[in-house]
Amino acid sequence: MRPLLLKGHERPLTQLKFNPEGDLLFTTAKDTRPTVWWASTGERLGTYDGHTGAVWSCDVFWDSTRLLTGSADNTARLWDVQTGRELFRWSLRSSVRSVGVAPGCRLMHLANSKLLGQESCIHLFRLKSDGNWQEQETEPFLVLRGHTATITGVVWYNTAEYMLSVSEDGTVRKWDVETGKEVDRAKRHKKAITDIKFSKDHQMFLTGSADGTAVLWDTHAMQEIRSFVLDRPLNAVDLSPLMPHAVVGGGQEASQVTTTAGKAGKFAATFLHLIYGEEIFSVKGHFGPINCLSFTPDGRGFASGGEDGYVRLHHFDEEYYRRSSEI
Amino acid sequence: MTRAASSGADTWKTSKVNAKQALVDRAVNDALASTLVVENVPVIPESKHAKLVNVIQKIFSPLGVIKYLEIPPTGGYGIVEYATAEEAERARKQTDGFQLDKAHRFQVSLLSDVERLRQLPPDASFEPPAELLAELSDETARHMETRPNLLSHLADPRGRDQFVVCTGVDTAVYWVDPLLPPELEHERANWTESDVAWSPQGLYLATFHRQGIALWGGSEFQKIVRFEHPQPRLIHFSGNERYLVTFNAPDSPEPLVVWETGTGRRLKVFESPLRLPPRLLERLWSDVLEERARADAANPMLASMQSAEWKRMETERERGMPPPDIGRFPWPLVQFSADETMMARLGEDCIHVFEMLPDRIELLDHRPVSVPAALGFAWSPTTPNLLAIWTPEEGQSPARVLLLEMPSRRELRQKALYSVANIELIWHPQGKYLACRVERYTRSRKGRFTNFEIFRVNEKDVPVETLEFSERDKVLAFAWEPKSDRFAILHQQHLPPNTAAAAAAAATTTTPLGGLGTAAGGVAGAMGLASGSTRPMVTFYEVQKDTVRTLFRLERKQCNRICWSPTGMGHVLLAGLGSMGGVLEWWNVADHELMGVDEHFACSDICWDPSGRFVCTWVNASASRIEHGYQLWTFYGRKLGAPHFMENLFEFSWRPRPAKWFLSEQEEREVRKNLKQYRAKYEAEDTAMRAHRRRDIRVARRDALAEWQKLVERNRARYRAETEKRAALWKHIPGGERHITDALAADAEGAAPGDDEVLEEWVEQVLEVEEKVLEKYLDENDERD
Repeated sequence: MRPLLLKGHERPLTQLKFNPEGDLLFTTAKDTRPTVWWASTGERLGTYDGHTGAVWSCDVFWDSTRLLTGSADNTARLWDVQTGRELFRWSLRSSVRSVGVAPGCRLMHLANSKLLGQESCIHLFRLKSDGNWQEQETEPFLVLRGHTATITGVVWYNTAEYMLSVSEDGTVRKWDVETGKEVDRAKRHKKAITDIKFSKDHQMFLTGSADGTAVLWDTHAMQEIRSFVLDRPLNAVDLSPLMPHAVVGGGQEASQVTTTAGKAGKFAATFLHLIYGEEIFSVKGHFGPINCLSFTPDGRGFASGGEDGYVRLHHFDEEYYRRSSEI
Repeated sequence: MTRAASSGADTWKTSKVNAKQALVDRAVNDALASTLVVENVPVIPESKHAKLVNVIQKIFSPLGVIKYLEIPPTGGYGIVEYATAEEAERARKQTDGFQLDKAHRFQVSLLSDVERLRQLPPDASFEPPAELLAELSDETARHMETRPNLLSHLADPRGRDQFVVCTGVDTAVYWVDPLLPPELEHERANWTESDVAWSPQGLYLATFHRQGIALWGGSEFQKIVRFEHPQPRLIHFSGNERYLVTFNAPDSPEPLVVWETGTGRRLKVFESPLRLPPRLLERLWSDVLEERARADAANPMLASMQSAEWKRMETERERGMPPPDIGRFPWPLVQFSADETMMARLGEDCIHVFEMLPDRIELLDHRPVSVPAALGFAWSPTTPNLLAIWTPEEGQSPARVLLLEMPSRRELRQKALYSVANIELIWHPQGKYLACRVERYTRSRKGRFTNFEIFRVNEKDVPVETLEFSERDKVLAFAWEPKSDRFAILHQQHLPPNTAAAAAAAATTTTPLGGLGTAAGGVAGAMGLASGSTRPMVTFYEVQKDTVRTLFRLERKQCNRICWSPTGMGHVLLAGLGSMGGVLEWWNVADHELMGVDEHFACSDICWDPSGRFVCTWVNASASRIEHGYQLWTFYGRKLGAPHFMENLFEFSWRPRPAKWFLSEQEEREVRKNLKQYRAKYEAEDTAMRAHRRRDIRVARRDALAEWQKLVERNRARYRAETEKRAALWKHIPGGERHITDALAADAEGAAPGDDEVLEEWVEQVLEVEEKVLEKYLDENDERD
């Protein structure tokens, strides 16, 4: 499993996103330039220049023509994937922490940080996807309030009826998109939740937390199915679309690591077996904490982005499938 | 009436023949019963006799009407006769043990008792009266009811050992099994307010509280005894845990208290504020000041900020208090002899040796053991009442190490040593030898070097072997192997600065990639050790019949701790703790063989279990900010399960085994010789357990799989049920249709996990059975499934 090492960012990675076909990989980092890569070769296709702050999040449209990014410069921008041209810009009052396009592409969300006296909330916008992209609404039609600390992740359910958000306050909340009301809430993690990902069918989701636990939830009941205790704070999680596996990663914060030894901070991506609740194996390589993880859409590989500024793109070899069936 | 008098009365009843004789007997008996004999009266010259009579009269006359008083000036005893036997008995009770002056303590008895004892045949044996026995057995029964069986943990069917861990506020005791993960025995939140400690025989777990110390024991860890002593900071048990010493602060109203462990009785409270001998204080403070000077030189900014703190410490020093840092406190201040009949404490130019009598603690012979300039002492851990003492060099007299036999105060051996900076007394755990680590000045008194004086305590005239290290060879650590004659020394070569620099230069020019395996100097340079020291080395020695032989030397080891297994079979763990990265090497010294190499990153402490089967390496929260937790290993360095991460772990300790309930060294050797006959039984047990466990895992997995399949089915049904809603979202978008059922498509491909695992099958087949006796590692098969 020799990884492709994608070097282009100069600062820690913040998010990885494959397009639905899995041939493009979009990455954002604390440098100001979201980047797109060929997933098969690791070749850099281009960057989207314009943000003036760290870029926290991105989402790509279903047809891979548009890219939405959110940044610490308090703006979210819409880009033409092919040309790199900025199409539209939204402004919020604090940095944009999470962006996403709803299934069906009629809605999108932006979530801002709890910063500069601003409450952390989710802003819902209507997207005009037909005709002129440059004429979008600048004001949200709904603002979802409730989290007491910065929202770190928002995911849309596949019917676009509701969305789930996780936050540094340790809660997972379910929001009704029609009414803007919080309809359910669960608290299981002791510290900040850092990532949330749906399973392919959206019937389960996985959350990872700085307290070192990862929890698999039932989407409808908002109840724990299984939990995993790791030996380090988690920054990123993902569920395999192919196998009953999850990948989690994180590591000691840079300020806490006392030596330069790679294994010191436990910067490996760890694979968990969802059925038996065991760790299957770990993939080392980063020399800083892992900040983001994503399986490829076909589940035959995964990418990790680290505090060290590198993206590592892995394709599973035969042994992965063999070992997985042995377990 | 005493028993003697009543038996006298019986005699009178039976002798009806001579009534007159009977009357005389009775008068004599009465006189005997009302007369006291006072022993330990001072022997004084004639001139002072009247004064003494006067003093004694003053003591005895308020207690009754004295009919007769006789004190022979040179006899050292006195006779006091009261009017009645009742008065005499009362006076006896009150004056027995009376301390007339420092050297004279009355021992008072009834003359009738003296007479009765005198008439006993010399070979008579004592038979306790029946009623006393009955009372005692009642007491024992009551005791048994209220007290749990403190040895219940030893009855474990698998002969497992326990350990205790403290993390944050939680304290838990676990069992360790070679095949299974540690099993929780008992857990309590807020069990202790600062620390926990096992008693040396492992019967009690001591916890620290604001009010004092509590001891817990038995299968449920019930509270057994409490010792009320506010804010205790240090405790020390005697070897067989009969006594306990607790300490809180040097200037508290009761700084140092001695207790009886079993009953919680307070036996002795030492003076307040606590006085330490001036020589000891001076040494403690000079260490502190030296450190301060070094810190000041390194960081003048910080030094000026801390000046208030230094000033406060200065006043403490002037008050004659020890340094406030509890880590520097010379603990234990009071030490007990091996048989617990005596305890000793360092005094000024003397050692105070106390006798532990059944009802009191008393200074031995009412005077301390005079040892001019004494600075340290240590009881032999096994030989009863053998005391080792050292004194520093003072004026013209050299430093000395003495071996004294108590209570006779006979000097068994003395050795004078010159140019001594410091001496450390290190007893062999079984008391066979005493090693003295002597730090000495070089002739110029600028440098220092170390030598070891090894006293063969059990041999006639106590021969002494000397082991000398040069000034360049710095000794870092010394460790006796328990139950054997071996010991290990960790030391490091220091090169003079110019040689080191030259070597470093040579290394960088000739072998830029680091000439590992070249000359020592080259390595030092390549390793970037600018100070000119090589990596430490470990040398193993054995005390043999007429010499101390070097067994072998391991060079260039990343090691700062030597930890011997308690078995005495030569197993040792060499560890590079803390900043050395947690490198671990298991050696079998008996066979000069490396058994295992591994690493536990950042580990800060190691400890062997009392059986020597396991060793634990752990990361203490006070030593490291990350990776708190422990890892268990077999004695030859194989991991026993995964590491256990526990945030804020600050204590890990194995429960000691009570020595007297286990086999002696001799018996143990016997068992080891006939290991084969015991082996089969335990192996069968282990095999059964392993099979059982495998079956359990299989069942658990099957259940998990079935449950998961149910979940997947349900999710698929739910997903299908919402197809309409998704279709409504996507149908107008070109290319969006596939999002309507994409999750189902993946499942249909056949790569779906569920389909694969339905076919999961467990086949177990015995292909071949091979029997092989692995002489060295009998636990080779102990692995966890």
